[in-house]
This record gives sequence, C-alpha cells and structure tokens, in this order.
Amino acid sequence: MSEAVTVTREIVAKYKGREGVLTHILQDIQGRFGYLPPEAMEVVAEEMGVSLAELYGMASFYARFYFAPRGKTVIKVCRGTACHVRGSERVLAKFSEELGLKEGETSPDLSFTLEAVNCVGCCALAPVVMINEKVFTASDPGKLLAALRQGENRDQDH
Amino acid sequence: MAGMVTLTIDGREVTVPEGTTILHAAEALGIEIPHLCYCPGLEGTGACRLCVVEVEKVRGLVVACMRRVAEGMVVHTNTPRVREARKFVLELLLSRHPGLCLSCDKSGDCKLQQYAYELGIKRPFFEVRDPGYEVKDDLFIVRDYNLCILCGRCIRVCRTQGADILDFMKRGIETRVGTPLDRPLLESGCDFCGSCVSVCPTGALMEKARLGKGREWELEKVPSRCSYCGAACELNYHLRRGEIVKVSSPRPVAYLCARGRFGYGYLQSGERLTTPLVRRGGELVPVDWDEALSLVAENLHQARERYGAEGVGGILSPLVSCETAYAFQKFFRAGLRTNNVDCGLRVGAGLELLRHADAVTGGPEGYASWKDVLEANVILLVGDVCQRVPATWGYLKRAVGRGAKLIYLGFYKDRPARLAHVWLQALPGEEPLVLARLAWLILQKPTYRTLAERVPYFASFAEEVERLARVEVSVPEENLARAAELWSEEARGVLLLPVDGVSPATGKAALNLLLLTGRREKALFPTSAFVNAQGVWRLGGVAEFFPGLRPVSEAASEFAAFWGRVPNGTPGLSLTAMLRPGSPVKALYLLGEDPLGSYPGSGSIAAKLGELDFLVVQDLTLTKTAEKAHVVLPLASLPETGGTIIATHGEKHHLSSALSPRILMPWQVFALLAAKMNLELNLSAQELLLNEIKAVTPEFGLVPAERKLGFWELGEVGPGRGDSQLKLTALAFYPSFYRQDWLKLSGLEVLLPYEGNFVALSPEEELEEGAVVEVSTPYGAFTTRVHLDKALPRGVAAVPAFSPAAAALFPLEAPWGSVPASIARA
Ligand code: SF4
Ligand code: SF4
Ligand code: SF4
Ligand code: FES
Ligand code: FES
Repeated sequence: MSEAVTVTREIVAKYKGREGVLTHILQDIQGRFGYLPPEAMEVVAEEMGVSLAELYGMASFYARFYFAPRGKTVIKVCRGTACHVRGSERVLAKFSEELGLKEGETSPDLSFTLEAVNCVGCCALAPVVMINEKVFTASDPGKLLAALRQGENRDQDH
Repeated sequence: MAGMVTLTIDGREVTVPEGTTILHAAEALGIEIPHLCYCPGLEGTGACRLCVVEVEKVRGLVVACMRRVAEGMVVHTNTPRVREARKFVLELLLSRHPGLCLSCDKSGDCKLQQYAYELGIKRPFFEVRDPGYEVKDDLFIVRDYNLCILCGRCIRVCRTQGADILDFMKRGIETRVGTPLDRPLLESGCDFCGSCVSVCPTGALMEKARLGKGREWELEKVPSRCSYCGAACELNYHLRRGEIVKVSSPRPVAYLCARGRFGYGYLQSGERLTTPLVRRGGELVPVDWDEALSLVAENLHQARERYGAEGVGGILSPLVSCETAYAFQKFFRAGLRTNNVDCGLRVGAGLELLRHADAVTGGPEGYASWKDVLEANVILLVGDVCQRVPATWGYLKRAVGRGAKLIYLGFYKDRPARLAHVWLQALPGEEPLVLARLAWLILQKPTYRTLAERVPYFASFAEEVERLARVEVSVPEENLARAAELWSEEARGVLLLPVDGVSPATGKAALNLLLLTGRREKALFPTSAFVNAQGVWRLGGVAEFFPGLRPVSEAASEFAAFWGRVPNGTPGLSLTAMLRPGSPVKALYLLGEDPLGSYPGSGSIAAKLGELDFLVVQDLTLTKTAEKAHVVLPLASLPETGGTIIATHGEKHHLSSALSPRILMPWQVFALLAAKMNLELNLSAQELLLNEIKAVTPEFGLVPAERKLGFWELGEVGPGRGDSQLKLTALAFYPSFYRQDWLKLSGLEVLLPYEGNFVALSPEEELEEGAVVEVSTPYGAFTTRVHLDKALPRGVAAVPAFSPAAAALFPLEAPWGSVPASIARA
C-alpha cells in the first residue's frame, strides 16, 4: 500500500463521524504531501461516501488545493487588469522562457512551479509576481530569477 | 379536495396535487414554460432562471421549476416582463456560446436554438466569449464544453443512473463540467450509458458516430426496443438512408445502457452474412438460397428417415421474436415430427427457475413491475443483476432514493454494495446457505413460523434450513440478523433474481424466502439476460412445451387440429442432452445460437458437433460454430424482422421492422424449406404466424400457472466457509453479454479490461496485473491475463460470463456455480 493511502486513512479516521470535515481532511492531506495525490482522493471518496467527481468538484472550487506536486519555488504571475496594463503578459512569457515551463507546469525536478493568478491586491506594485507568497515588482523577471537561483545555490552550500 | 390545490395560469384554472411545481401545473394545461436546467425526470436546481413567471401579489419573478403551487395563485407565463427576463437570461447564455448553429450537428434538436428563436433573439447582445477549451474526443461521445451552458443536467443524470463521474469543477468564470482530474471518460469509469448526451440541451455532448451524418430533420426516426437483454428498453433508431446514425431514448432520462445506446454496430457490420454458404471440399463457399436450402432440406429429410425423430434437432436463440420462434418450432414439431427443439435459456437454471417463478407468482400477471421495484420498502438483490440487466441500476438507485432498504447478496463489491443497507458478502457457492440462514432466522419468529407451518413441505423445509443454518458462512452474524429483520418486517418487498444467472439452489432458496414471508404477488422481478427469453419459452421454444406452455405429452392431438399434422407426442431432448457427446442427434439446426462461442462446456460441445452428419447454422455473421457448419444461412436480426417480444417481467411488446433486411426473413426461410420437403406448414408471412399464435394461445403463453404451494428443496449446496481452495466463478462484468461477438462488432468490448479476455483476482493474491496465467478447473484449462480487481474478495477468481474462458472452464450443466480452480503462471 502506498504511503498516500496509509496516511490518508489515518487522517480520515481522525475526522470520521463528524459533519462538514471534508475540507479539513483535504487540507491535512495537502499539508502532508503538498498536493492532493489521486490515491489519497480515492480513499477519501470511498471512506467518506462521496463520489470522486463530487470530491474533485469540491476541492477544485477552492483555489488553494493542488492536484499535482508543486515546485519548491512557486512563481505566480499576476494577470489582473492593472498588471496586464503594466505588461504582465511579457512577464509571464519571460518566466516561461527562462524556466522552460508553461503556465501551470512544474519542473520535473520539482524546483519551480509557474502559475498565472488573478489580482493579488497589490496593484500599486504592478506588474506583480508572488514568489512563495512574497510580493515583488517584476520589472525585470530575468534579474529576479537570477537572484532566486543564487539564493538556491547558497541554500545548498549550507 | 384534500391534498389538491387550485390555481389560475394564464387565465385558466387548474387543480393539481399539493407540492406540484408551477412548471408542471402549467404542463397539465398544455402550457410549456421554457426551461433549460430543469429536465423532466430529474430534480430541479433552479440554476438557469429561464423558467421565470409572474405571480400576482409576488414582487419578483418566480422560478417556475422550483416554486410549488399554492391555493388561489394567479400565474402569468408570458407577459412582456417575463419575456424580457427570459431574453436576458438567454442572451447571457449565448454570450458564452461560441457555437455556430449553421454547422452544428445539434441544430434542430437544440433547446438553446429553439428558445432563441421563440424569443426572437436576432443577434447577440453581449460580446460572445470563446472559452477555448479543448474538445474532448472520448469513446462514443464527443464533449465540447465550449458549447456548455452549465445547466448541470448531465451531472444530475450521471448521479441518478450513470457512474456518477461528473461534477462542476473550479468556480466563477472558470466553472466547467468535468471528470476527476479531467481524465477521459473511459479512464473515469464511465458506463457509456449516454444519459448525459441524452439530457444535454445543447451541442456540448454529442454521439460521436452521429457527427457529420446529417442533421435532425434529415434523419428518419423509427421507434423500437433494444434487442439485447430482457429489459427490452424502449429506443429510437435514427436513420440516414437506412443506416443507423444514432440511437435515442424516448424521453431524455429514459435509461439505455451502453449496449442499447451505442451497441448497434453489429447490426450494420460488414461482417453480416448476405448470402448462404455451403461446405465444398472443406471450404465454405457462397451459393444462392435455392441451392443452400435444397441441401438443408435433403439432409434433414435423410437424417429424419435414417435416425427417426431423435436424430434431428433444432436449437434457437432467446433473442429472436415470438413469430420467428413459433415458426421454427413448428417446422420441427409439425414438419419434422420431432420435439427436439430447445433454446439457450436452458443453459444454467434459467428455464427451471422461470417455471418455479411462475409457480410462486401464479404466472406473469403476478410478477413485480418496474413500478413495484420503485415503490418497494425492501429489495433483495441477488448476484450480478445490474451487469446482466443494466436498466435495473437506475431503478434501484431511485428506489433507494425514495427510501427503500436494499439487501445485496453477492461476493462482488460493485455499486449495489455501496448502495445497500445490508451487504451479504457470501463467497461464491455460499449464497444458498446464506439464504437458508435468513430463512432460519425468520423462522425463529413465532408469527412467521405459524404462517410457514401452513405451507406444504414445511417439515422438510424446516429440517433442511435447520441443517444448512448450522454451516458456517463468511457473512457476519449481525448482517444476517439485520437482513432477516428487514426482509421480514418491511412492508413491500421485491426480490430481484437473475433467473438465468444463478445456480438452481440459489434461485430456489431465494424463492423460498418469498414463500416464507407470504410474498407471492408483485414481489418477484425475474431478470433474464435475453431480450425474448419469456416469449421464446412460452411459444414452443423449449423441448417439453408446445406453444402456450402446453405439455408435449398431453397436447399432441390438440395441436394436430391447429397444424393439420399430428405432431410427435414424445417429449424432445433438451439442449444439454442434444449437445452431449454420444447423443442421438445427427442433424442439427442452430438458429441464432453460437454454442462454441457462448455456451459453457465448449470442449464437449465441439466433440458433439464433430459427431454430426449435418450441421446448419443460421446467424448474423460467420460465428465460431458457423465455421464448423455444412451449411450457413444468413439471419435477419430482431430490429429487421420486428415482431412480438416479451420482456423479462412479462410485458408484451410489438415491434415494427425498424431496419430493412437485405435478406430473407427467417420464416420465409423455413417456409421455403418446408416447400422443398413437401410440408404444408403456412409459414410464409409474419402476419399469418401472428394470427396463428393468437389462435393457439391468445395470451401469447402469458398464462396463469398452477401454483405449487410448497417450499423447494435445495438439494446439494456448497461447502460453506473454511475451504481454502480458490473458487472460480463466471461473473457478468458490465457490459458482458451472451453474444460477445455482438459487443465486439459494436466496439463495446473495449469497456472490459483486456477486451474481456482476463481472469479477475483480488490484489491481495500473489500475482501482478497483466500476468499471463493458466487457469484450470475440473472441466478444462484456459490461458489468459490477470486483472486485479479490488471488488473481489481474496480466494475468489472470476472470469467474464459468456467469455471463451467461461466456456472452457465451466460445464454446460452448471455454469453459474463456483468451481475449484488453480492458477499458475503460463
Ligand atoms: S455516459 Fe453515463 S456514466 Fe458516462 S458520463 Fe454520461 S451519464 Fe455518466
Ligand atoms: S454539458 Fe450539456 S448537460 Fe452538461 S452542463 Fe453543459 S449544457 Fe448542461
Ligand atoms: S438494459 Fe438491457 S434492454 Fe436496456 S439498453 Fe441495456 S441491454 Fe438494452
Ligand atoms: S492586477 Fe495585479 S495585483 Fe492587482
Ligand atoms: S429551468 Fe427553472 S431555473 Fe432552469
């Protein structure tokens, strides 16, 4: 039995018998794995007596759940109106090119995930990127990336 | 009137039951209120707001598909305000509908188009947004969610009668319908029932085969019924120049399974025989009808002369019409004066259990109907009914939705197991023991005991039950107690029994439970996997009965009057006896049956076929058995012949000929044969046959049966728990069907793992998915692949019913029991 299955069974057991706990269960699973592994979802559906479709429907309703593993560094390019006006399209294209990832993709070594998001509420800083939940002005994506990579190397040195 | 409400709609008064929606009340007056998300037969959700109406003294507009009527309500369905609101709704929907009606296959059948026309929308008011979703090209179904208006009908219908694999994904402007992780339908466990396509109001969901084949008004719609299983579901063929381009159900939510909706390929396959074949120098070569029929006539005549009545025989399919069956048996009984005519229903215990069923219910009049299933308080479901007769699934689900308690007896953890209040997971072979145990538990209640004591054979029944109840079974005690409680205490109980898919002991033990609880009428829904099993056996298609279920030994003179020829008064051989090596049959006529392809015991059948002087096979295609024949004749299919059929629960239907056959009708073939043999049999026209049937048995054999009052003895039953030998069974896996070749020709075999060539095992066994193994039983060996299936318990292996594996590994006499087996890597 895979780890996802065993862990999920334990998580579900903790909540079973209570009402309205599905999101908590999913949150705990994501907390463990960083995303919602398909085998885990099957266990939840089976044990909680909901269909897999309903479970995915519910989970996908919340933007905070992920269905595939995510990179160590998550880059979210804002595509809101203000950022759009300030050239977010170009920013996304640049990241995409540099990382070799399309929007929504994660690099195979799980180092980067590239995403496009709606207005993150910091329009004054447009064009905005969020890197692991920190907000930056992405006037020069190349520079940002270089800094990131350097930071990563430093991490590894330690 | 109590419970009734009177209201006024568009100036007309109407009285409807309390709780009716305004939409339905209007319908009662013949007023159609436009609706998109509401679909007749499904719960409403009030999502689209197209159905709004004005109600006097209510401020805002009212959603007619949700709002219940109230006394004195005054409703206006077509005011300017209402029309404006509807127009707005429609304009919004059209703003995210980048479709082009000009070239859309749905044109003419699209609700969006229809309402846009009716509300006079000339050009889009809002800018049309194209979501740019990729079109999903699935098996049989194409999904273009760009055209989806998010009405949710598909989701609700899939939940109600499908595999429950759809839901809204994401939210807001990104909302769309999808499967988990957006996987293709096949990988998502779709049943391909096509219900979603059927209810979709737009072109978002379409039958793949229909695309580009013409639009609605170019198609000819012919009503008919499905020709696979005993449910005989109602359907329409939509034809373009005589070719089926799609199949629809009569109402949007009326159920069709994958076989009914998409399984028509076999009817128009290039493999269909169009000309007779005869064997020459070891090869089958095409000849004309006259030559082929001369050869058949000559050989049947010779065999009859040389070997007597016993030397010739006919086996017919339970998938042909009553008229065809009647003509065939008459050719044998009156023409050749032999009663060696039998049908595929004999295999297993189908025939025996149908007779027992009649003895319990007093005949088909006493069977339960679909309505009785829907209204039951407790339902006992035995075995793989839902795979054999898939239409049962939707009814079961609805019944449980309305509060019925379901008891499921079966080892396989499929959908009924999830729906059941009590799941009796008996291992294969334990079923009669578990049923006997339930009987024992019920007998502990004094009221039931007193009642049962009055039923004949009570003493031996009580004794047998006492003995069997002591055998240990794998079902937990509390589940047994719970089931006994439900079955005895709930008011209306219905037993769903796959008569031609259980062992005789299981069937009889289940019928005993009916007798024990005094449920004789409207409590048994016998399911047959064959569309016209009921018609064929009632109209002379089994050895021991003349048409109308008249016993052969009593009715010969009676039929001499009808037929103008004295038939033989000696009962004929059953199919099992005819196909046994060494049987006296020397010339055999198979009508629509492929024993080598679909009967168990293929090894010994092949040996018997080798002994024959003459074999004639009449079938749709060159089947495995036909390849061995001396003469092969093309057969017209049921949709081609039309005619009368009797569905599994005793309902009689008359079908018109929906497809034009390019070959002789079966009765024409028999008539020509009779003429060549100088027999006057009056077989040349369907009309004649129908009239003759009506004269012989005005009820079409749907006659009251003599009630056998007593309990049945079960005879030899399984060893019970604790035996460690691997148990092998033949299990129907959706959409398994008796004629696997039909599934194959229709492209449906891909719904089964390894196209139906596998042995299923629990993942707990020591083998891996796809391993090539040899399965051996006392009856044969077969090499196949392992398919790991979580729904199977440990210690049980299953091969698909009607597959070559089942044919090789089970005996003809007992195909639905379990046999000890061993599995080794090949
Ligand atoms: S075909 Fe049937 S099972 Fe498949 S998605 Fe449609 S409704 Fe559901
Ligand atoms: S696919 Fe069809 S039925 Fe399903 S929500 Fe969209 S429009 Fe409605
Ligand atoms: S349930 Fe039976 S009759 Fe109905 S569509 Fe399926 S095969 Fe045909
Ligand atoms: S539009 Fe980018 S932060 Fe608001
Ligand atoms: S049909 Fe009534 S809200 Fe959609």
